[in-house]
Amino acid sequence: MVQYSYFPGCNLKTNAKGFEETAIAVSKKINAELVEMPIWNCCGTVHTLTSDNIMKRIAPIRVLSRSKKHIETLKESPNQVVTLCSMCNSTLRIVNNEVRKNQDTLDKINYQLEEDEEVYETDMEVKHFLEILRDSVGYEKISEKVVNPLEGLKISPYYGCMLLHPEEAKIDDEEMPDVLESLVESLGAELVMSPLFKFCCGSYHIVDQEYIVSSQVEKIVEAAKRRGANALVVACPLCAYNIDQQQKAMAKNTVRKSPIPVFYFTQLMAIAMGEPVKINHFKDHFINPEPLLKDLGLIGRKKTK
Amino acid sequence: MSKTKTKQENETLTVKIYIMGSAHEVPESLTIMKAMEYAGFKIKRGAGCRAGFCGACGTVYRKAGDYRLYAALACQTQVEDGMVLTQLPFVPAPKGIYDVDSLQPTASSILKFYPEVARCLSCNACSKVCPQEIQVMDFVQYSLQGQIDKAAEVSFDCVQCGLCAIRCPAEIPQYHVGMLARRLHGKYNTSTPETLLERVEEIENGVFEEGFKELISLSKDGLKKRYTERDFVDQKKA
Amino acid sequence: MKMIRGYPEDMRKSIDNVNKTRNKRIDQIIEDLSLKERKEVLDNFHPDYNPKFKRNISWGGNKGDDVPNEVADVIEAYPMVNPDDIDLNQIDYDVNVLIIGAGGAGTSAALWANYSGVPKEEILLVTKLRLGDCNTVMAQGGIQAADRPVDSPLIHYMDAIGGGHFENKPELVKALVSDAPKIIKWHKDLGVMYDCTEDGSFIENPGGGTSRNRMHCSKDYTGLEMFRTLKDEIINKEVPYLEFSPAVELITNETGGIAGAVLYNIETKQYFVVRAKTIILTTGGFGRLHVAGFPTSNHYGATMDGVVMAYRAGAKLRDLDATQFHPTGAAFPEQIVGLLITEKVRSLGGQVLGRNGEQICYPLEPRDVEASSIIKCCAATDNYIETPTQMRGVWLDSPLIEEIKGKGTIMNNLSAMHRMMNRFDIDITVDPILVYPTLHYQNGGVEHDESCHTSLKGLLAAGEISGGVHGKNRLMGNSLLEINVFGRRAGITAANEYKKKSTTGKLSLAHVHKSIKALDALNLKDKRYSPTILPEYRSDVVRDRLVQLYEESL
Ligand SMILES: Cc1cc2nc3c(=O)[nH]c(=O)nc-3n(C[C@H](O)[C@H](O)[C@H](O)COP(=O)(O)OP(=O)(O)OC[C@H]3O[C@@H](n4cnc5c(N)ncnc54)[C@H](O)[C@@H]3O)c2cc1C
Ligand code: SF4
Ligand code: SF4
Ligand code: FES
Repeated sequence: MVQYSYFPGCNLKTNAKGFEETAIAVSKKINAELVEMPIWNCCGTVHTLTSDNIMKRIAPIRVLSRSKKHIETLKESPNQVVTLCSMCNSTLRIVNNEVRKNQDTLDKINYQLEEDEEVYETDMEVKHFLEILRDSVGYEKISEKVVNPLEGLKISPYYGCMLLHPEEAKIDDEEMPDVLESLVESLGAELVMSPLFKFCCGSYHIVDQEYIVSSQVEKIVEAAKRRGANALVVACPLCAYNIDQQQKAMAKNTVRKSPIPVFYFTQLMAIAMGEPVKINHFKDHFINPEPLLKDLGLIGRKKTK
Repeated sequence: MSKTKTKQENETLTVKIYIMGSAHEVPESLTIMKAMEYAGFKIKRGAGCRAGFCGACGTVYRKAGDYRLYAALACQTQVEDGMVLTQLPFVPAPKGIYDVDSLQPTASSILKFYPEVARCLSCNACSKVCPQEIQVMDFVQYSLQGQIDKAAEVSFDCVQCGLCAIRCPAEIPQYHVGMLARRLHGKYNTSTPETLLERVEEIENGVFEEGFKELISLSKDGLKKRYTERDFVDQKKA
Repeated sequence: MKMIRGYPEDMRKSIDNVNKTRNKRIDQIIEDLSLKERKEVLDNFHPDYNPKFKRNISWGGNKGDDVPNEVADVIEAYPMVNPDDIDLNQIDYDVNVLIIGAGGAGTSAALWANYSGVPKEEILLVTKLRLGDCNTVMAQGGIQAADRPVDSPLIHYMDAIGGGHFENKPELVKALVSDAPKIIKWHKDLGVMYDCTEDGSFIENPGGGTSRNRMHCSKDYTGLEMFRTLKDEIINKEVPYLEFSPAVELITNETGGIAGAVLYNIETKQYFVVRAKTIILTTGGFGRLHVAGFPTSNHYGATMDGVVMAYRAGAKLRDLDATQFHPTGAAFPEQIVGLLITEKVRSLGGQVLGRNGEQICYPLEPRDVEASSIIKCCAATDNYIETPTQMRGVWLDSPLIEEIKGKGTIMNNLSAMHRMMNRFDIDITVDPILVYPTLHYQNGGVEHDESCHTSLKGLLAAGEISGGVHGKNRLMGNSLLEINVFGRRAGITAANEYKKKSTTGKLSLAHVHKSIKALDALNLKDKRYSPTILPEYRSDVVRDRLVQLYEESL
């Protein structure tokens, strides 16, 4: 079994338990086990654009150094730290690139970490779990493990901004990504392409300018629905939260009365691979996906016509 | 000084320390607290338990030829030659006002009263200063991650001296955060044993009243006899 | 002096004996003393039974009572405030309930007064130093409560009465043991983290003189965990409190009842007058009086102020002839001499050993008996260990705990002890601790009844300041219990008084004048003042200089 040093990030422990639990469950099935770092800190989000702010870069470098130590305790583990959250992925990656290019910054940070016996030597790669699926596991292997093909699900992939931008942090082609698409197909679901696959969800404007988020979400969801989608798949807890929660608000306050559920890609994998339903934590969703899954006979008893 | 020293005094080795800048010669065996008293200070603020439990005596110091800023509890730390010190017995850090009964053991409970927790830079300055050697950064991070059980356990030995809060670039009052985490954990994450609830009920129903009446009516000799004849169920006796 | 892992080379030889005998001792159980043997060792070695350290109180309601000299000293002392300097017409704080002393008893009284209907603005909690500077915060070992099926309040009652030499007030012991489970439940609801096993039941340890395991604990920070929770709650409930403002005298009214107190701000040196309908005295104990010259485990402000103030106002005292010396205070290193080594070390299996590494007594005798046995070993045999500063002590074999209960037991259950010794390079998982009795607890004090009324109207008392609950000797874990049980009861009583219509009467300090007269009649050799407020630890040179300055100013 290949083991990966897995960095959860705060969101996975609070708002996205279903994301984490399904990811860990399926990772074991496909011989790419995610093992949580025994001790970790915030990734340092949001990445600062001022280049001289060393303090803001201590957190991500500490994560990389702690992960390096973690790997020494794992089996067949490559020098990679794996994230599920696209925000964490982005922050860690950008800072990793920065210190690789700038020895001076790295030295300053290491000087701060020295007393904690954490020293980073730029020898870690930051990977999003999607990359592990695509590059290390392969879709074929994933297909092999599917016992419950997702027939009837018409899924529109939504990337958001963080997975494809900026250049240093992207995990796929920013104009023609295909990792989510290929994954959806390998699970036996129908793919629905939408032009708004990376139209910003409004991100942290949800905190104080909710109207921005609701108008963005409305466009994203409508574009997918018009093309026939009955669900969305995402890879980021904040996107998931915004799209899920805003649809519920819209259903209540506007004429848009037919919301569609939002899945994490690992939830789709878990269902297709026959994992127990409860690890999805569907109760935490605003739009409960269970009725749809039941209708399609993907969970519970098959519906007899 | 003209006073002739006794033999005893000649034998005590002394060190030179600087209390808020002024030099004092004090016996090397003293704690910082006792050294300050030896030097003539009457401590009012910077002492409480004098035993390492109350956190009143937070002290910061530097040593000769060392750039580092050290922190310690004055009642638990021996003086060293060349120490330059001052006490920090009070740290301005207002506590959140909450009703634990209406909270849940989650990150959002913590963030509601201490939103600044989200600003933690993971610089670890707090852990380095903690005289209890608590991994302060880790418990702050656990609270942010909603891992309240771990936050409670890691912060458990905190004596609330406040030294960590003084060092924090994100201005987090870590020790208040730990307090809230522990209360949430103690209240919500562990169950109240059935046997306790049953016993409370028995007492309320007066189950032991007869027994008490009898015991209270016993003469001293009667009590003595009972006492000597007690059985010990949990402990081995010779 | 060559030091090896925290101990001088000389002491290492004796430590080798301890290590050599450990295996043999694991299952060795030494017999506990009969009541007759107990009496013998107490009579011969306990400071309470040594007339040299005691005398009779010479004035007031308890005249003739035999007490330690240091206690008599503060009772036979002039008031530190001149009653004529206080203007009772100017009332600075007018409240319904005044609580003096914010330790465990004071904070639980304040909370329960509030829970029971006294609005927070009608409560004032005053304390000598900071909220948190008290004996409660230092308690390590645990709190007793008979909540297991094999245990019962009746068994708890017997243990407490026997430990107290059958001199306790029975109705108080009944209240103590009957309320105990309720208190633990209250704490649990507040979120106090008592140690639990995997299956969710409480970890309960034995204690000296207990016939069942009923000591609930939070590692060896039980008092800290309990107190910081109560403090957190006081702040949440927004109960007003004043720090650095000790009470220095009670205020009476024309009927001799209590109607307030005079406070003294120790920083600005101002006096303040508080008027209140109910006054709850919770000022704790007297360790800092250093009875019989012993070092103490107590906090800085444990100077018996409350007893002195109450006595001047006419309150009845009891059981002050009995003083508790904790068997195991630290005897090495010098920096921490007298600080407590919790009884939990023995609860978990630690044995008490002489120089040769053999046990000298059953490790879980009631405290007075255990302490006397250790004093005996150091005074009447040559089986003691001497430190470089000529302090004598015996070994407390902490490494044995890990042999019995497994590796990691010390870190998980005794982290405060481990940390304290480790600061001086001693690792108690591999080396024993040198101990000698330390002045620990005020067994007696102000007498009260089940609802905390003292002999004076308007005055309630609870906690270590009081006498009667523990008779002549308190068992471990019954004091943390007492402060909650009677703190709570005092708060409830105050709330009942609050609901009654009555007035405080006219404020007066006549009792202080009366005390001065009584003291004048004694023709005391030394003129002393009390309450003591804080002990004096400055060096003789500084003290002499201060006296000189004072005399020059006259
Ligand atoms: C080191 C140690 C370990 C202990 N371990 C245990 C144990 O394991 N189990 C157990 O049951 N008991 C234990 N005890 C005993 C127990 O902790 C105390 O007896 C108990 O906490 C006393 O509580 P209290 O509220 O009465 O007094 P305290 O907690 O001492 O509070 C009294 C408060 O009143 C204040 N005060 C004093 N004078 C004045 C004044 N004039 N005006 C205003 N305020 C004043 C003091 O500053 C203090 O804050 C231990 C005690 C010590 C010292
Ligand atoms: S966590 Fe902070 S307040 Fe608590 S003991 Fe450590 S430094 Fe002091
Ligand atoms: S000092 Fe403040 S910012 Fe730094 S790690 Fe500690 S809590 Fe975080
Ligand atoms: S005085 Fe209490 S910790 Fe030092």
